[in-house]
Amino acid sequence: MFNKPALKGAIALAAFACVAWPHMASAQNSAQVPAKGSANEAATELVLAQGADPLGFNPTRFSAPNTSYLHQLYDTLVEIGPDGQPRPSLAESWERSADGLSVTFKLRPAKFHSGRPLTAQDVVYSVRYHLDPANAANLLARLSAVKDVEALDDRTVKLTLSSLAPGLYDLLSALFILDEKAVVNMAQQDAGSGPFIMKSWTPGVSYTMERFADHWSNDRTKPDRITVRIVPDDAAGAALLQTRAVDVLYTAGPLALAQLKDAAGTKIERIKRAPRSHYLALNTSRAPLDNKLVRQAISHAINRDMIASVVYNDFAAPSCQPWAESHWAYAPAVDKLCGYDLEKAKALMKESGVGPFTMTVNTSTDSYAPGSVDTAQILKEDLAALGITLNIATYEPAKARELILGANFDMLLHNYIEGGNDPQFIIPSAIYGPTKGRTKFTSPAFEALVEKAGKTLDLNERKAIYADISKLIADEAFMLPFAHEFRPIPMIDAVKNFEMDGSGFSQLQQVDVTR
Amino acid sequence: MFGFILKRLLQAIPVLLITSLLIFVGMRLSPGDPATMLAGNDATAETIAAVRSRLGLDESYATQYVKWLGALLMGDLGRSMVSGLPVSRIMGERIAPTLELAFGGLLASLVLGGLLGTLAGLRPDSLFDRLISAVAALGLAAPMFWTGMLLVAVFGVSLKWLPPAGRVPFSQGVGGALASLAMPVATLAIANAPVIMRFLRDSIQETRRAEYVRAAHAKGLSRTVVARDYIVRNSLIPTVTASGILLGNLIGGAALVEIVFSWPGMGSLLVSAMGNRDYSVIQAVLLIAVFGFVFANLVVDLLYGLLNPRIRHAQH
Repeated sequence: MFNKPALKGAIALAAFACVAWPHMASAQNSAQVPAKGSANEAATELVLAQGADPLGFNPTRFSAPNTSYLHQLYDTLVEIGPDGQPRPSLAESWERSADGLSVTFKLRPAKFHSGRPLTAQDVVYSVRYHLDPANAANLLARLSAVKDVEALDDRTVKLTLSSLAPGLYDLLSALFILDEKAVVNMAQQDAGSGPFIMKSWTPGVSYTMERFADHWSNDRTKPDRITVRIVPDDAAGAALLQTRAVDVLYTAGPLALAQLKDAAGTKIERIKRAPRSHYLALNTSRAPLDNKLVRQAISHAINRDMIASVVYNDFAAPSCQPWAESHWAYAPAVDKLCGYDLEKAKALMKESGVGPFTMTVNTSTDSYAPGSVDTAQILKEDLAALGITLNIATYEPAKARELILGANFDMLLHNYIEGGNDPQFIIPSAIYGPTKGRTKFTSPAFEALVEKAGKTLDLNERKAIYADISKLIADEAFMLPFAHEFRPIPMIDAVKNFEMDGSGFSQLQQVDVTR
Repeated sequence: MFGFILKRLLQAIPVLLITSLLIFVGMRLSPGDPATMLAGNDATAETIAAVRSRLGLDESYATQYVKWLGALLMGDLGRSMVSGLPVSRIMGERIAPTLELAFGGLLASLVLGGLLGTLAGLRPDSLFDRLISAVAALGLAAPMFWTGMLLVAVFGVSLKWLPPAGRVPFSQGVGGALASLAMPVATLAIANAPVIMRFLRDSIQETRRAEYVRAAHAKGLSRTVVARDYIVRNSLIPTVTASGILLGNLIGGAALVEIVFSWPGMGSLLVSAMGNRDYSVIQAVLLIAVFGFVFANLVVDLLYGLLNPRIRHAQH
């Protein structure tokens, strides 16, 4: 049956396997892409895995895959401390005018990665770049209070405002300063002055940032190199973490979390400062959602505790106000207004006089609206008890976003990540309104409160106003926040000081990883 | 032979043109666009319109298509609408991994499927034949992502023999490259070898009943010679056809396997580009995939000629 050539072939194959196998087996630790510490064994390297490629290195785009490099490659004028208060960054000091309508920043000496000194003119350029609609900066809609920006000298820049803009410093902590001479190449190279500089990018594989020795805070920088590997599959990411091929799983879905829950040598940190706030939005221009009693009934039919526990694996805090418990604007009393109470919900439906009806809730895939489909299933059961038949429509991200931007929905399950910032980030925006909100809800009382909130910088006064706003939102029930998910970030035990800012942008400069 | 190849390549031009039009129109008719994805969650209609204009998406479909096709004919695949990178660079990074996986997967499927198909075909209705058929059915039925995850769990995480994900280029060392290639190729082979095996097994069983095989046995030729020169060789044509289809599929990108193993090939590129509505990248990947099919079919036709002289003469 088997002739000589076949036998020779089999022997050759066996010989090859014997020779190659030891190499293959020994290569398993070094076979990661790129190899850890391959360039310099003494260097400290932090390896992250995330699900998708960055969309270039333009820091005006806050898509999730970009958030791993923003604070690493770029500087901002100020940063926000864990206490929610601004602290110096590129600006070593600042002074607000007596009327609060202008702020003058004094810059520290700094350099771009190109080696060019960073001056006040660069700050002017960067602010104007963000304000130009053609550049579609994601911050644009929130910068309406910026009236003018001018350089008083090389190290002094003055920002003039059209209103008090109480959330100004939070905005500036996300406004990254650009090197005008380098923006043309932001598709493949950064144009920043941050603590790390882009060294290489292989689309679909990884990108690498290295310590920028000329950075003004270089002495605080811990890792010498940060490598971000692109790992689209959740289970593969978990496997890489378990085998120590990566240190941090930056985007972890339910599958990875389940796999890593009790994995030896790893931990799951919950980043409380940057919650992902999940909400149910009701389009108040569509009957019967224009009826406040119906909306309130729906609010009481949301089993927030169950959703937080079942859908978000207890990594979330149930709530019915726009910000989480750790935020300074959180008002404990508000969360008592929206308890799960089906009997009360039924009574409210009866009182509204609205009979059984059918509505559609828009959801999306986990990559865009994590947990929305599972939440919709729970909601469907509870709303059925009120005579509401809920159809669940699940859209992939591109279509989902199109429908959200066009406010084209009956009900919408979605989330925002800016809730860790100043409330001005979300309250006057399209998320809540009052005049341009996607739920189309407005009322004189709501408008007045939001206007009042924009006219004071006094923190205690603002706390009281936002407590009233939260109470109004819970009462009017047009937007129904139901859980603040503290993003779980799996990492190996050796990783310390992993942080995020209020927008959920990672801050890796001081991450310690010892092996 | 050269004339035949040239003729087949020329025949591919209208196929590619029609396909390019279908791809272009299909993408434009699908919901969402790159401008919506780029402008962010709070974008106003004005901002989205500004981005659309910058990307040239506010022009008529006909203008956009003619511009794209014109650039394509000049060898310019354009730039990614999302990242701004030249599409040629993005594709350049993906072609080598795709071909490695495609040819590795094909080779492993052919070796495994060919060996088992031959043995099963030469021993019809034996215990071995039945056992192999049952195992093949299992391989066919198991979803590739499941097989891949199982391999990762066993060989990557538990035994730590192989890297659980990622690709090492051959330029960084043969051992590492083979290690990174092993599980993705095995996953493809487990799913595709049964197809090859069944084609070959059935074809061999049919050929065994041919008169010229009986004549060869009657002439006193050994079983090995009859099997090798009379049965297996004459049974290969259906297998070659199946291999051509398989190769075409793999060149287009084995998306699931690429995602499970974080393999930076064209399949995973296509999936991410679809998510971002990155038209220029999607169009380029799909065109390469179509070209892959055309190329694979051409190779199949040439192999027909090598295997069967009658077909070779007809081609000429």
